Amino acid sequence: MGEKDMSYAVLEPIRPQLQKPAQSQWGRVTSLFAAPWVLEALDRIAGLARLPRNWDGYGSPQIDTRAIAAARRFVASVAFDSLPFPHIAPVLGGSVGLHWRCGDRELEFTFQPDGAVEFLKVMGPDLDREESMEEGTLRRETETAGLKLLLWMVGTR
Amino acid sequence: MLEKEVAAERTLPDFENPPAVETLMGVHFTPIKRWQGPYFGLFWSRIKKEYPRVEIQPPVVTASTPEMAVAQFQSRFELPMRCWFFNQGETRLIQVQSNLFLHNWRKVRSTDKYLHYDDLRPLFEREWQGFRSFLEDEGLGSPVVQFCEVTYVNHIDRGSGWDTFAELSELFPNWSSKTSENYLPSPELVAMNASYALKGVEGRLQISVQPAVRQTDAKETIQLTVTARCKPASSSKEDICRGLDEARKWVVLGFTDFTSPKMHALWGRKI
Repeated sequence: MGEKDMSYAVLEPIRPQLQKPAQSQWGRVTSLFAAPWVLEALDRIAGLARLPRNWDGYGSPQIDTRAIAAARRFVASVAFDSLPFPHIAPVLGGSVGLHWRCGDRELEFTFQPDGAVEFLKVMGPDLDREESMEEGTLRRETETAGLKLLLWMVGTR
Repeated sequence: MLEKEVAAERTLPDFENPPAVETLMGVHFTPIKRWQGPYFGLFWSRIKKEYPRVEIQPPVVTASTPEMAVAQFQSRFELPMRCWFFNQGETRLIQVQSNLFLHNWRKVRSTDKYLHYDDLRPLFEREWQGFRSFLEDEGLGSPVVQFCEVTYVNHIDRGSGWDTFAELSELFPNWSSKTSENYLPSPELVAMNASYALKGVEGRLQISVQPAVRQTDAKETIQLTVTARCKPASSSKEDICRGLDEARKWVVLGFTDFTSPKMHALWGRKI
């Protein structure tokens, strides 16, 4: 993928509820009718800001506001109706964790204060097998890349 | 023309801080017969300096059912696609497909100045003329315009004039929160779609109210989309401009009529 100031063409992944005649609007919103759980998820992520320093008893800092904002933008961008409610948790070092499970597929995202998003993809019941797991870091266009992973998880890719 | 002089000529309702976050204007035309995928690239090569990034999107479909929409593209052995060409600052966008040409403007930062229709229509005219020249140079003919479109997308964020959907009637006077037997509690979400036939011109005004979360900042908002489409007298530049002006008049008057005086005061109504 090229840098922001270079010319390039991309093919955007399409969320399941958007597979209907497209409209001509540019700015993106997520309909609350299409994903009614979104508001509660956004509130819970925002609530992580209330955790004090040393919330885990091991000296962890407060959850970073940039990590909270990034996780909220991510949820607002990738939500669709067949996506289940995520498990939301604070992560060591001030990060935010989101975890989804669908059948025997699991996805975990960790939003770091520096903007990086780590993911862990798990498939199948036999977690001892190396090929059942894949991990990586998303540094750019995290919503688009994350949406592709979530579509894999719910079985549409 | 000086901004003051332009403002002095304005007769339609005008607001100091309108809730518009995006506006678009453009034309829908009879599908260009020999249009094929490579023409997207050829057109891009003409505008790439000003519009350096492109995205492929599913097409805007005007057919009334999904089956008809599929048939619309399959019958012509055409890839069902649309291209978005973004300008350098990603504040403007050109959308092209075999039967459509649109020009969008959007507010990127909350501090960005609202770009008025008077500023945007000349930009559209220039880009549309460029597209028409491209079609002529490639021997693809002149597009037969079916209708002109103007759309304003408005965001009314929670906390700016409303806090719960029980207050919706304070935003939109045509919505009543009353029920016959007072059994139902206040709604947690409300969406509305309304369509109006235009008077004195062939076309429609469509208004949509949609509760949503904005993806760029995860804020809850009510998206109020107002679209007017009207048939121009011909495909000439003058008639298209008249069609756009008519559509825009309906959008502005429709928006003002659909929303409440309380909100007009909040947005700083000037006229």
